[in-house]
Amino acid sequence: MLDELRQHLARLQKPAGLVDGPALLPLGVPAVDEVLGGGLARGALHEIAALSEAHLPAATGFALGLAALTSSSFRGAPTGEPGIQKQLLNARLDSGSAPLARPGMTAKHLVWIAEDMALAESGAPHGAGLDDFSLSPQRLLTVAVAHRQDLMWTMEEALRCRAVGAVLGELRHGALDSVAVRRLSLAAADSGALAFLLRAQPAHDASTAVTRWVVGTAPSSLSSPSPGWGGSAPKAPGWGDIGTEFTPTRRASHGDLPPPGGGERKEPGAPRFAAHLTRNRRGPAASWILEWRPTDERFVLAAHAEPVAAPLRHRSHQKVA
Amino acid sequence: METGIGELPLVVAGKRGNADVLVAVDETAERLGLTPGLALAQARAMHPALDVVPEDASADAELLESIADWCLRYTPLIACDAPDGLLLDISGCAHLYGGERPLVADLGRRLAAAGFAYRIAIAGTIGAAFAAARDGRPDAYANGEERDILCPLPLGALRLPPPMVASLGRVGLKCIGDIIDMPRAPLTARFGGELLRQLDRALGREHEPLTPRLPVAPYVAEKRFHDPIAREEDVLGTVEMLAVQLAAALERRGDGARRIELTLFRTDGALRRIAAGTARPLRDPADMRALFAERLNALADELDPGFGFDMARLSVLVAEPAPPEQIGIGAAEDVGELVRLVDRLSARLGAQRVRRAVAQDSHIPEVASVSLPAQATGTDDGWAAFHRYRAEAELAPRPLRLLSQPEPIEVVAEVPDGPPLRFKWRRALHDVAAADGPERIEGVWWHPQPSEDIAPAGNRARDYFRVEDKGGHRFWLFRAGLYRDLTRADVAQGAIAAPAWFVHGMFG
Repeated sequence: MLDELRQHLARLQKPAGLVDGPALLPLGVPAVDEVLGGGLARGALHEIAALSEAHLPAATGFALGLAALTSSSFRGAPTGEPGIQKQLLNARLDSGSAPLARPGMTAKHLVWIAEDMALAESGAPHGAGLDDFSLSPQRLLTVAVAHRQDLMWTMEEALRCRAVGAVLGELRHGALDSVAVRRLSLAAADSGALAFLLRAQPAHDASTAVTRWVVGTAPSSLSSPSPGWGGSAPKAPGWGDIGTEFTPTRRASHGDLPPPGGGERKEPGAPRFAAHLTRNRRGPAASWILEWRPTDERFVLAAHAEPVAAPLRHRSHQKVA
Repeated sequence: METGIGELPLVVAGKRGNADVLVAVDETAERLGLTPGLALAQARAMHPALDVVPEDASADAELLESIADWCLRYTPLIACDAPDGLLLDISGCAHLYGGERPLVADLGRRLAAAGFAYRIAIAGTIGAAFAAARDGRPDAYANGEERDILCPLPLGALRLPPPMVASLGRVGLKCIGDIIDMPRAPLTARFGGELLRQLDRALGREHEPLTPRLPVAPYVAEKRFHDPIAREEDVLGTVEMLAVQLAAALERRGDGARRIELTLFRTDGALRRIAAGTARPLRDPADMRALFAERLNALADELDPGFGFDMARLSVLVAEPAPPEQIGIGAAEDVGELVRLVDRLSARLGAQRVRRAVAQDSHIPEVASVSLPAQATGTDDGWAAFHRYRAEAELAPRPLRLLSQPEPIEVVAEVPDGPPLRFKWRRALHDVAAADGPERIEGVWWHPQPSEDIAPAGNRARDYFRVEDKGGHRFWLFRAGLYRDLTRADVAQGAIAAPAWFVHGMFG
């Protein structure tokens, strides 16, 4: 009797996105997709918390990477040759001006909602910076709200709009109103859009989110620049490929000086995220270090983080970071 | 204008020149023989028990404005005739009340209920109505009666400067009838053109435009209620009903509404004006209703219907040509959906809060990409040009989040022009593991150097570095100012500030 009721309740509670199987967004990383049961559920709420406030930009990048996957059609093998990358880059840039030019891409919009305080403290989304997450700034709508209620209301409103593919709500502090979160889940399930709740700190409150991530930064694979800054030595694909050539706009004022630091001069590589999946309705919790490849518009697995063990909140490094 | 209630005679006194004189008197005072223009001292001497209120010109003007607002229920064409008159152009409006006399009766009844003394006259010209209301017998006169109205009235009724009236009086010209048939040339020669101009205007020989105090909306629809409405649903229902009328008118001329105003007339005379903007020309009544639903939601208690609204008017303040509606194509539908979302959010949260990124033609990062209200941005937001430029110039990556103001940091750098080794920002120390740069962005020489307090980074050349600290946090730092520009003497004299470091953004 009790079991029956429980099952009934579970059926009622399941957002529609979970019932309709195909609404999954594969990350393209087999290890992650396996744990997620095929990919990130569309039409559902996902919580992405920064390890601490200092990690908020990384959490933002991770969320935007996931949002970018919704419109990305380059799901093929990673391409290593610079020529092809350039083509891809150009294709991406062109698509920015004509969103319908690329086959298979839906010109859905991203709505980024944040409280005034968050925008002042952690910086506002920068249009030109979105390019590196394969998101066209034309498709971004930024909404600054005065308080939490407006944030929730705006997220819900945005989710109900058919032209919106992903909604990112940024929450700085404090617990969530469970009713509001529930409404968000339902709104997302109705529309099939991705809803992200970006939090500045990990929280342990109850939530109807399908997945809960805690994201921190991870050191990127540092690359040594070629001598004289102007060469074309192979580098890790990604960040380094855009604009490291010697051009008048990027004149190194000390180009002939020996590299400082005992000849060990490093450049940052593609962004990496230490992503901990702490709550997962479809499978176990897990941790990875994921690298975002801007030119391929996808994540790749950089390395395993420490083996999956106790829940994250018991780890000491969380406090330190 | 206002009648006093107390037993004491009430007078309003103000300064005219150096003297305190009576500006307005109530009925009791009038019966005692006090008239406006009398010196206050003299009035006090006549009647020591006077209730004297100091004049407050700005409050009077405000009151007149609010009465003018309230009169919008009769006509949109209203001009204030300071200090105590209102001009209403009721051409084509009177039939709504069943004629001019019923309109005057309605206006008078409402004014009296609000406690105002009034004189109302209707005539074919502004000048004639003015003269009849102030010096003649207030009534509704037909067109062509101007001559009859004016002839018996004193010349002061013609809106002439008092010195001119006085000098006309000295030659025995007291009434308008005295000059109405006189030869024009000698009058003009002696008293100037103003006299005959005012006479011509009052007689309708010369057209006198009325300049309304509010811009007249190109599209207006209104509804009066026998029973006042107060509930929000009723208001919204009315909005939709009026919007249907507007939509038909808009469609006929191929226009769409960019700014709509809802005016609600409360029974006690107060006015509620609620405006809503749209991101693109709008015609759909359901959309207009949705827009005002958000506005009313945001207003909540501020709306305060009191005893209800007895009239509602929906006017399109700004209209723009709208292309014929496109139906059926998916992409267009999606765009329409987004526009509706933008309108809804802007109506509820304020247009300033809903923003879109726009690329501008500049190298300075905070200027190159700015966010502007989404309703105000056009279709060309500059990104196509930016992306072309970016591909050509091979710009370095830009940060995901940009701080509203570059924040100063303390930096240890190995060589003056090189990237930092470690830096301190917001009380946290970061050891730099990797750096990429510099990307030099020169200051704009055609702008003057702003003071350091306003723009800490100033207008100096910036060297941007993309750095990653040992923990993997990625920052966008820059040094404002170049060491190459610096001489020891400059620093000593403080002519050029030493280069300073800032953090400007964070990468994902």
